Amino acid sequence: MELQTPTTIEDIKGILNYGYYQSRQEAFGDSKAQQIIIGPAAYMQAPDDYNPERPVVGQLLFHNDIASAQGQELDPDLDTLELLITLPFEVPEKKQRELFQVMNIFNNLVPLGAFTINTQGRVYYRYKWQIYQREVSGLALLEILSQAYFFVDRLGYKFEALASGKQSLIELMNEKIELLPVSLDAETAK
Amino acid sequence: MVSLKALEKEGLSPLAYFGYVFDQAEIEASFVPADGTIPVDQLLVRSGQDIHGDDLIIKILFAEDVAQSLAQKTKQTITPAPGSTLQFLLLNPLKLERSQIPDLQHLSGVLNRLSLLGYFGAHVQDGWSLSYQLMGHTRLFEPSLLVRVLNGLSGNYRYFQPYFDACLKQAKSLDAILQEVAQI
Repeated sequence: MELQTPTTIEDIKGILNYGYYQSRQEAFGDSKAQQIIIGPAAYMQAPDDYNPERPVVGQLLFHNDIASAQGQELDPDLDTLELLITLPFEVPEKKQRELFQVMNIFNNLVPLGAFTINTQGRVYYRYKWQIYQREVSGLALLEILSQAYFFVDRLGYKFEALASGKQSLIELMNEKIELLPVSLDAETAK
Repeated sequence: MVSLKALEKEGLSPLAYFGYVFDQAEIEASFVPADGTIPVDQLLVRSGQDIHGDDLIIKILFAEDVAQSLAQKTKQTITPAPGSTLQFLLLNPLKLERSQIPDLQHLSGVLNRLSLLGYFGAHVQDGWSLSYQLMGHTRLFEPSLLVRVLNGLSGNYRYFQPYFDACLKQAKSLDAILQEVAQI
């Protein structure tokens, strides 16, 4: 599944046919730049309880496409393929500090990318993949997506439990988290 | 660029090869092989200076080596995932008090929205840090891509360092710092 360079957004769509429902859309309402929308996928709101009415939406876009559409200068040899996955709940302002504390620990367990909260209070996962000469390895991209959705599933509902007050910060921190193939505490994982 | 096979034939780690390429490009790098005290091979790279003129040292290692080393330690086996992940870590060496951590974690979370590359974190043991992981389909990454990552991380670190400084020195309240961040 190795592609000829440069990889286009249509090639990315083809790679995602291996297991992901997706569509192509204009990025930021700009017809010159395209992005791939992944899903919507059902949100795992509790262990093994997927709710299709609460969609998890992914986005994939090349930074050079956006820069080019805006008439900016760019380096054709170096690009970023950004993956953004937004979760279907909001964090009240008063709970954001606790969420940031938990994310600080959990982000150390996430092998690629990190979680944070946007200005609208939505939790999202983001990975900015640096790529050379716009050469995207299909297998590597599928691995990135697989890891990202694994952690969205395993951590998303925990973030929501804290945001909604269902679980306290102490309870969440004391929970055993089985995410890795080997036992690994947060500090060593970094 | 050399091949992975050629490196293996010479018994060279890709990290040692990256260090050699960086040296050629006048980027100071030091390869530290695994031994009794360091469980996995590492490459330490000097990537410019921070806003106070102190050297910025970025530690680079393979994430799969860390997982493998921990698995061996706990006598477990792991199935290798496809591809390879190179981990970059830029630590601020300042020792933190436990009481400083929640504010720094809050600030890190907010700055992670704006971070151009990598994500910030704060820990009692290591201070505040900026990390990034680069996925590749083999362990032989394109050196010019690695240089871009190094430059991106050090630039990002310097850009946001004043906010961490203000938080650590308690020169301003966290709310005041976050209001400034909101204006970026």
